[in-house]
Amino acid sequence: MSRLYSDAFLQALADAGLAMHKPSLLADGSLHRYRVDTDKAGSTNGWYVLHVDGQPFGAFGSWKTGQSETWTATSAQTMTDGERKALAIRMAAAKAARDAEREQVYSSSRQRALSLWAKAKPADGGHAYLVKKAVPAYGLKLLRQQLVVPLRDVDGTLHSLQFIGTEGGKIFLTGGRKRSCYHAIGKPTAALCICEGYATAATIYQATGHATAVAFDAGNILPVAKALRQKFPRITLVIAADNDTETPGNPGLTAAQAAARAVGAVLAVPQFAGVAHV
Amino acid sequence: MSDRSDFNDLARVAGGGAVAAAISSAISSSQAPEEDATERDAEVSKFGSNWPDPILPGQVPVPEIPVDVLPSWVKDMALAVAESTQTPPAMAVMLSLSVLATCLHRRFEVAPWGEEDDYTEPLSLWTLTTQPSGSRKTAVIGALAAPLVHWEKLERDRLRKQIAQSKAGRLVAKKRIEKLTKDAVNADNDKDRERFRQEIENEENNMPPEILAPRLFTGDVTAERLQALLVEHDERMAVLSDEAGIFLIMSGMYSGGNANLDVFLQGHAGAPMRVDRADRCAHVDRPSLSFGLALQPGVLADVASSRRFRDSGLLARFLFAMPQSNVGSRDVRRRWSISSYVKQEYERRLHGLLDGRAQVASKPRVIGMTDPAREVWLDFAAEIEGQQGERGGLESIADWSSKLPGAAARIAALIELADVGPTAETISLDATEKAVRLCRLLIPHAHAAFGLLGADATDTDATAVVKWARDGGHLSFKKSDCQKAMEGRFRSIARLDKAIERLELGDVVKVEKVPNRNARPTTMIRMNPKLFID
Repeated sequence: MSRLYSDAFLQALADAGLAMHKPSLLADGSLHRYRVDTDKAGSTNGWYVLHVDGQPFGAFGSWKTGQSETWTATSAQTMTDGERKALAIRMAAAKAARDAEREQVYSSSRQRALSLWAKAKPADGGHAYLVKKAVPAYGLKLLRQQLVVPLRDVDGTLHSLQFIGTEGGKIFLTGGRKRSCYHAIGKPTAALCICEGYATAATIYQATGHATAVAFDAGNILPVAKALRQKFPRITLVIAADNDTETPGNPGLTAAQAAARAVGAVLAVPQFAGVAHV
Repeated sequence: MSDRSDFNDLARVAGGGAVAAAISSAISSSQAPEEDATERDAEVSKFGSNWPDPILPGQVPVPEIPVDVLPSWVKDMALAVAESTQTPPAMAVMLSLSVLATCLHRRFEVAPWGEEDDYTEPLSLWTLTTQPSGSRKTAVIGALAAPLVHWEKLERDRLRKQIAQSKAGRLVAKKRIEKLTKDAVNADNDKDRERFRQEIENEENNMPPEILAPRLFTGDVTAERLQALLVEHDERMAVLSDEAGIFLIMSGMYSGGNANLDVFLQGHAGAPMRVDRADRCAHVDRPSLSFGLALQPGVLADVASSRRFRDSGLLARFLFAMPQSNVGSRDVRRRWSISSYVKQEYERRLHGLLDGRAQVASKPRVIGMTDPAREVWLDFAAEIEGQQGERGGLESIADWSSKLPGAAARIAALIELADVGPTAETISLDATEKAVRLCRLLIPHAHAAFGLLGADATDTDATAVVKWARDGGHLSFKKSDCQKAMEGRFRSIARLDKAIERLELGDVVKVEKVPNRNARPTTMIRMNPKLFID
C-alpha cells in the first residue's frame, strides 16, 4: 500500500476526530474495526474500509457516535467517467459491508441491552443522582448502583442503555445504537418536549405534565426530533435546549435551534437572567 | 460545565413554576394570539395539577363526629335529632354530652387513678359547636334539652306547696323583724330593747329556708347572675344556648374587655368561690358549670380581637366542634319526625339520671376507672403529651390539648353513668374507649377553631407567608428572602420554620434543599401553583 495513501487516510481519520490509537491499515476492501484514540482501552468503535487498487477510496466512522465519512485520494472532478462509476460501485459495496457490520454490532448490543435490562431492578427516587437533581425515577432501572436509562426507537425496540453513576458520570452500552433513540417520559398529548438529559426531561415532565423525550446529547436532538415528527406529525414539538453559554459555540442551543428549524418545533431556552443566585 | 444551563438547573434556582412558564411561553408563542390566555391558564393549571389541593391555614378539614361515641339511648336520640333537623351529627353529639353533664355534674367526679386518689375531675363539660345562621341550632338544642325543661316543670309543680309555705313564712318573718326592729329602736328602757333584740334573733333563726324551683340550665345570662344561680341551685348550673350573648360576655365584649371571668374558670375546675350578694355573703365550695353552646362561626371571629379572652384560658376549656354545614344541600321535601319511642326513652333515662338529685349539695361521689380503662386513658394522655412539645402537632394549641385527657376522663364518666345509671361503680373500658375516640376526633376541630379565633399564632404566621407570596407572585423563594421581607414578624428563623411546616402539612408549600457547590444547600420554598390560579 502506498504510504502516501495510507498517510492521507490516517490524516482523514484524525481530521474527523476518529484517529487510530495504534495506526495500522489493511487496504483489502473489507471492513475493519479499531480503537479510536479517545475511546477507552479494549473498545473497537471505529471502523474503516479502504481500497487502494485503481482509484483509492475509503470509508470510516464510529459505531459509538454514529459518524460515517468517506475518503478518496483524488477528487471526483478529476476522475474519468469510468473511474467515477468504478468508485460508485466500490462505495456501494463498502456501504453494504458497513451496514452489515453495523447491523451485526447493533444486534449484539440489543441482545446485551435486553439481558442487562432484564437483570436490572426498578429504580426508586433514592439514587444519589436523582436526589441531587431532585427528580423522581421515570421508567428507570438500577443495576449495580447505576441508574439504567433505556434507549428505544420510535417502535419501542430497546437498542442500548445509558448508565448513570452516583456522581453523575454517564456511559453508554458499547456499540449500542443511539442515533434516533430516546427515552420517553409520559404519554404525548398536546405537546411533546425533547431535551438532552434525563434530569432535564424529568424536571420538564414534573413541571408541565407534557411528555418528554430524552435524546441523550446535542448531536442526537435532530435525529430524535425527526423520528418523533414522523411519528407524531400534528403534535407541537418543543425542543428544550441546554443553554451552554460557557461552552464555545453554545453547542446545546445550536443543536436545538437546528432541530427546531428542521422539524418545525418550537424552541424553549432556560433563561437565568434575573434569577437570584443560590 | 455550568450549573446554570438546563431546565433542571432552572428548576433548582427558580422552581418548577419557572420551567412550566418557559415551556408554556414557548408553546404560546407558536400559537394564535387569541389562544394565549386560555392556553397559558391551561398550562399553569396543568402544572398545578401535579399538586394536591392546598389547605390554607384556618381551612383545616375536620372529621365527622359520629353518634356511636354516645351510649345507646343518647345515640338514638342524637341520631334522630340530626336526621330530623338535617343537621350534622356533631352538633347533636356535643349538645347531648352537655345535657348529660347538666344532669350529672357536681354529683359525681371521676378519679382516673382510683377513688382514693386525690386527683379528680368534675363532670362539668364545655362544648361549643359552630354552625351558620339558619342551620336549625335552636331546634337541636330544643329537642335535646326538652326533658330538662319538663323535669324542671315537674319539680316546680311538686314543690309548689313547699315553695309557697316557705315564701309566706319568710315574708312574715321579715315583716316581724322589721316591726321588732322599730320596737327596739323606740323601746323605753334597755330591758325592753334586749327583749326585742332576742325576739329578732329568734325570728332570724326560725325563718324557714328559701325553697326555689330547681333550675338545671339557663340561656342568656350575665356573669353576676350566673354566680347567683350557682348559689341558688345547689352549686351547679348549665348554659345551653344558641345565643352568642354569654360567649360575648365571657370575652368582655360588653364590658370593655374586662369581664368577670372567675365564675367561669372556677365553675369549670370546681374551685371554691365566695359570692358577695346584696343581702348576704355565700360560699360555693364546688361550683359546677357546664356549657352547651351552638353559635355562628362569625361569633368566634368577633371575639378573636379579645386578647384577654384568649389569654384567660377560657377558650382552652371548650371542646369545639366545627362540622361542615349542610345548609344549601338539605332536602326540603324530607321530613323525618323523631320517633316517640326514642323521645320517650331519652326523657325517661335522663329523668332517671336526675333521680336522687339532692336539693342541698353534698360531697360528690368519686368514681374510679377500671385498670384496662385507666391504661387506655393513660395511653391517650401520653400520646397527647408527646405532641405538645417543640414542633409537635399540638404545640400551637398546647393550652387546649393539655386539658384534653381530663376532658376524656370527664366524657368517659358521663358515658358510663348514662349507660349504667347513677349507681355506676367504675368507669369501664368501653366508655373510656368511646371518650378517647371522640377526643381524638375533636383535635382537628380544635385546630380549626383556634385558627378561626386567630389564637393559633402559627396559623397567623402561615397565613402571612401565603399572602406575601401571592401578593408578590413568589411561586418559589428562598426561606431567607421570606424572612428578610417579613423581618418584623419573623425575628427568628425558627418561627418562620414553624409557619412553613404548617403550610407543608396543608400541601401549600414544598420545601426543597438545593445543593450548592462548595457551600451549604439553600432551602427553597415552592408554593402550590394552585394558589396562583384565579
